[in-house]
Amino acid sequence: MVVDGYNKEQIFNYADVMERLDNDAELVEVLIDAYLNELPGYFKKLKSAAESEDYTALAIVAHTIKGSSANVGVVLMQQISASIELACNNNETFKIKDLISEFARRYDVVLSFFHNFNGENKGERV
Amino acid sequence: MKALVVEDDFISRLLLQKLLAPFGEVHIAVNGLEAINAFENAAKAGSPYDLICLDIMMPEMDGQEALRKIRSIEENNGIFSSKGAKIVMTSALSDIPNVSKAYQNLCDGYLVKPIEKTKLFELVNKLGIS
Repeated sequence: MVVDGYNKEQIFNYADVMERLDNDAELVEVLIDAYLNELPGYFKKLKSAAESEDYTALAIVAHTIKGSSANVGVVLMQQISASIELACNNNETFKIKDLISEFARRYDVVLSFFHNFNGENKGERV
Repeated sequence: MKALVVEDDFISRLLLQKLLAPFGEVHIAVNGLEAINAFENAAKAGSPYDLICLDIMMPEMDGQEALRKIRSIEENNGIFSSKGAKIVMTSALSDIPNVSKAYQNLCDGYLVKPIEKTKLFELVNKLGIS
């Protein structure tokens, strides 16, 4: 499956998360569902912190999304969150606007991916 | 075993809660301040936590500060290092200063996110709290 130029492994590393969680497919499914429920809230907090130029808060939110995405194997969001956190910590605030735009683009990719993933590859997650 | 999971992020809380549930009772706190309150209340009730999983980067009070305060409370109550709660830091921060600081503040283990079930279980067994 390819979404907006990203292949499946670039979006979601199912093999890695299964290995880390001892092949507990049921747990992975619970975590992914919870993550998809949380993602809009994460994005809202991220945009709010960026708009108010509160880079301390932005670094914390980005760090949280990075950890959360890593736990569930959503590498596409893990990477962009790490970049936002790094830019905040290095005071490279001129990068933030573009990084938030990239986050928004990847957010849509992830939502689209899991929407299709449920249908096309259901057997892999059950 | 009685455990306290301290994480500001819902997914990390959910994951640790699910992984630790087979070992016993698991409570949650969302920042360092809540963790201190939960720790003190459990101790007062005569049912202290055996294990505390503590994230570092959290709002209100971070995990390093919470660790320091918990050890300080234990010390003030005559409970020293090996007799206290087993405290495992669970963080995406893997840099040497953070890891060193946690051990200086007397944590018992440090797990870098993403959490691996095998590593968590090995640590729980190693700490003798399973």
